[in-house]
Amino acid sequence: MNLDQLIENIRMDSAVMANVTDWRVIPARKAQYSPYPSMLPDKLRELLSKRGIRELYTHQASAYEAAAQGRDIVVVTPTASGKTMCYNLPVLSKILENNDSRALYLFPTKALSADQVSELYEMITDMGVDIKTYTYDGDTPEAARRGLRQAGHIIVTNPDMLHSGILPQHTKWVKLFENLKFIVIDEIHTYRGLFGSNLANVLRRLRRICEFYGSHPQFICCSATIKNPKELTESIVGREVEVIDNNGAPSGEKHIVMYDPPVINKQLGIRRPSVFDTRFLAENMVRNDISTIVFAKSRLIVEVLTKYLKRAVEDPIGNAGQVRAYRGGFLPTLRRQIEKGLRRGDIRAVVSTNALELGIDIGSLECCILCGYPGTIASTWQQMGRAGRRHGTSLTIMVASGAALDQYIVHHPDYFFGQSPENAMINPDNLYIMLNHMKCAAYELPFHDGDSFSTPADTAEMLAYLTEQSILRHVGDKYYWSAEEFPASETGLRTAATENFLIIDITNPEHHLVIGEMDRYTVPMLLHENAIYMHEAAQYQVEKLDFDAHKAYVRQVDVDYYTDADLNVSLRVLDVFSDDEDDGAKREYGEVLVTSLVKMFKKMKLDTHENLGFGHINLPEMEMQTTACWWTLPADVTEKYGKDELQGGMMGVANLLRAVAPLYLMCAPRDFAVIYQVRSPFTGKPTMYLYDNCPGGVGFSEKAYNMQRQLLQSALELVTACDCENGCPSCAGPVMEIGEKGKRIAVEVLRRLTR
Amino acid sequence: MNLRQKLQMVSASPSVKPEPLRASEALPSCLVRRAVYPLSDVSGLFSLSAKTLSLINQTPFDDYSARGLLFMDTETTGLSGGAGTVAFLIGVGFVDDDGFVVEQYLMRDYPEEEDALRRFAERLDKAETVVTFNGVTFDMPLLESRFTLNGMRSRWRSVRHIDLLKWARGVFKLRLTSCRLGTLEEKVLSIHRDNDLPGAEVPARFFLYLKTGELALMEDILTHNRQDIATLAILLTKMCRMYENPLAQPHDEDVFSLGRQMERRGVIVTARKCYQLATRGTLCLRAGSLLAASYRRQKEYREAEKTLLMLVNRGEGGETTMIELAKLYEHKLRDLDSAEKYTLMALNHLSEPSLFPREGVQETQNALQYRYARIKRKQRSKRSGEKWV
Repeated sequence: MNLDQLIENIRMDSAVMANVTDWRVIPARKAQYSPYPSMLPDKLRELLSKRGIRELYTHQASAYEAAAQGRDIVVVTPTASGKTMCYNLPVLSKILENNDSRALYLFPTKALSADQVSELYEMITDMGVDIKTYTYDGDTPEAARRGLRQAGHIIVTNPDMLHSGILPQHTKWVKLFENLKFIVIDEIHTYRGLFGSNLANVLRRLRRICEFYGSHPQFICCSATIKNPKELTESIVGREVEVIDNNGAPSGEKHIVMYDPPVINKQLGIRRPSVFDTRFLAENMVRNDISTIVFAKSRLIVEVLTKYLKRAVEDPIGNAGQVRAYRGGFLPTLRRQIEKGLRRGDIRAVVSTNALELGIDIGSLECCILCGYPGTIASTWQQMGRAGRRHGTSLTIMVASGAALDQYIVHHPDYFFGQSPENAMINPDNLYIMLNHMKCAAYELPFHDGDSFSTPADTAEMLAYLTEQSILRHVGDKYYWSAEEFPASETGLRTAATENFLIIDITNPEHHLVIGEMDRYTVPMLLHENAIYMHEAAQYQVEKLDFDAHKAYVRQVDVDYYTDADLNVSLRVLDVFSDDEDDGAKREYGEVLVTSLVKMFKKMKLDTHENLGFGHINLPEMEMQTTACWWTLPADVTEKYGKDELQGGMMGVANLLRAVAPLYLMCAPRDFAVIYQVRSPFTGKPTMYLYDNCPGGVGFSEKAYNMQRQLLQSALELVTACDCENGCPSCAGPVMEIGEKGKRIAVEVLRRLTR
Repeated sequence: MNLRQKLQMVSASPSVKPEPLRASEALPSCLVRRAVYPLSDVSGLFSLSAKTLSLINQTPFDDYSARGLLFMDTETTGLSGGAGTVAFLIGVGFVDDDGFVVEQYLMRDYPEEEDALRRFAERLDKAETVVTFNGVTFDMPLLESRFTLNGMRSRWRSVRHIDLLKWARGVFKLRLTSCRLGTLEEKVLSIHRDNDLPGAEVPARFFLYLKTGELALMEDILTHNRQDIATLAILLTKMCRMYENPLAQPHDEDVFSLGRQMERRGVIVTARKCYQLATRGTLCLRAGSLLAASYRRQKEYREAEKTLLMLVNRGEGGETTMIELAKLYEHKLRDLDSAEKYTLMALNHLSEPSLFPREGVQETQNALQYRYARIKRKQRSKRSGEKWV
């Protein structure tokens, strides 16, 4: 059956349709073309027409013209609209025109850069011209680096490498910086929160260096659909940009289905796990040879689903290579191999975490199944965009989990389809982030009196501070770097810890094999001793976890269960930096120690997901010292309620703070965390904490503290504006989670704190 | 006077006391220290030959004159080598009419850097060859970077370069493991420095000086740097001598390493002599194996046979040497009976009980049995061939 027939079949199947809460069809869109721009060089015209491209899509032509006129732009179009042409054409034109021209491409991940280089290579080879494109990242061999610094026309890298490998060594890149014409930033919407704030500062440093060498590069950025692409891009690149969003790419008919698994326990209101229904729906696709991508929210579910799907299609001797898993932690070569398989069609189904959400070219797939709501509207659209490229029908099914937010989405589809995607927020002037980058900047080039990194006043103040700290030396009109250290190595750009653990397969004692890696914060959850680690749907049992050596030794096994570990988070106050009391409500800001501990794991049976028993985990606690802001709830409100009621109310307040804080702190939801203690060991009273979710903190909680009532006020506005009676996912949380009185108590607590 | 005495003279008590000089040009000028040693201290430099230098450095030295050499060493604010690392002291050594001159350009504060670089550039212009220790990867790129940052790129010049660290690694790594300049002074040149400031403390000392303004704090660094430069001159001479007389070296490791360097540079006859000599001691197996390999490559199979037999007779290398010998007999010397003999010997050797279980024994045995069967087959067909004739 082809997909159209299959869709008809599903429509006729009343058992399936009983679970469908919404089915929308987005009609096909015709392509809109523009002729080749008049400035387009002959070489590129020939190349395009050789490839059967007689005209450009409207947005490609607009981007070309704007770039040719020297403007900075951000191109905002959906997945698979041919946006790489929006930067490759202007860049290649410029280099064809003047062979000395240089361009720098930035991608958020190595995987994306690899993909881009191969596409560029193809274009350059087909034109038969001498334009050199090189990837410069941690994998580039030392011997190759020297040559590519001099000769590379297009340097493809990532922000981390630019930050710690290129900018601090700029004198080795004279040719690049003297002739830099374009800076291309693809997937700019991924730079939100800390990562985006860091990138904005890296680009401030880049601009200083370009000025030193006398070049004035233009920016060409590309973004997926978010609410504020212009604002985000401008705050990252530090300049005004023009938005190009006249998408001319065609798209086929799209079916979007919201699917809610049935209730299996009426008393408890428990639904069938989403994995079960995802499996059933995906198997149907795979058996009919429909190319399918399944997105799951955790590595574990990815592996479980891959195992199921492999079983559904395996041949008599057990081969099921057309179904593959794809996730973080796979080694690059394996990822490349899977991407290639998908493009060529050898792989018909892939089960992935959001790792494939970004624009890695995997060709066009017909069906996309989301196992659970991805969490934000923007990334839901990104994942859905993986199915249905330019022509032909495509089908997307979102299978809800029992979680409150998922339930809300599938039962209020208009809310989902009517919402614009989220804002992407960054704060380049975050004091901590900026200070780190000013150190790097001073290392790269001395500052002069009157220089402006952010604003002249802030810059002068920070330079004075760094001079006081004996990190800089002020002589004449300049500030010189005056320390032994290498500041870029002390600052990472992403929140995640950098030390990875290696996963080593010891099944064959003669030949130990590294099969993957994992960041240290995830290790206790997935690689504790006796855990079943799944890799490409093969099961491995962890025999030994050598925490100090950063190695996990695993052996291949065949069991009918998987393991799932419980994470406990606790928080202890170390120091109070400032505090304030306002009408009996105390607010404090200081240093805390956040401890996460994994103590137990469950064994879950495959297929049925029954709990088969528990196991103990003996691992050190993971500690993170960071900054936090906390509110003590006044006794006059809290005394009225019992412990359970109060807990529900505090959970409600926590949910509300999680929802509004990103807007006010201008960060991504993962950049901070909110927890509550019904009786805090530190204050002795019910306490709400908001802490920076990265070691050392970056100032989000301080900002929350300094906002005084504003944050709580907006949480109160959010909850009182909601029409629901006793709580719902879009305010304090569903009744099931916060209790009958939860919403009311949350409102009362917030009223009291903002009185 | 031996080298050690010479160096101690050079480094500890220069015949002319260093005198501070203040240049009087415009722009903030750096502090210049100049020390002159009598030419007799570095007389070795005059007897170096273009031929030896070309051979060791693998770059052409058509003409050589001691006056074309510029010894150079920097002291820096860190080791990262990025744009924020400053060479606050550049020391150079060269021969002129007065003697062997060590000039040091000290940046007393950041604005003086440009002047220090300018003075270095003037010296660089006159130099034919720069001699450094680790200059290829550190000092030269760092200085080039400093020229760029000070807007002086046009003054930068690429000059023929001798990096003595590279030289030293080729010869001393086997014996000394570490090829730090301090180790070489002690173990190769027999020089002991008194009260030397460890290199790792240099940046902190400089920053302390910047903070306090106590120029006296820089004396240790200036002395350290001056001694480094003197050592470079001695080390260069010493290493040229070693290449010229490789067989006269007292350490077998050095003889062996010189042999390898000679072989790499195509000086096969000398290389073989070095290997031959090195077989007398603990390096017997390594030297013998390389020697046999060298003969085999040049198709001097009888010599290779002799070397391998020597190794087997001394019990060096166990079955590996026997297998090598069997291969030589079977494929090159066409002596099937001897090939059989050493194949069997290797098999016997492997079947002897061993205290230490080794990996891959089974595979080696299988390969040997296969070899044995093949030799047997060849012997048979050879015999039947003879019959037919």
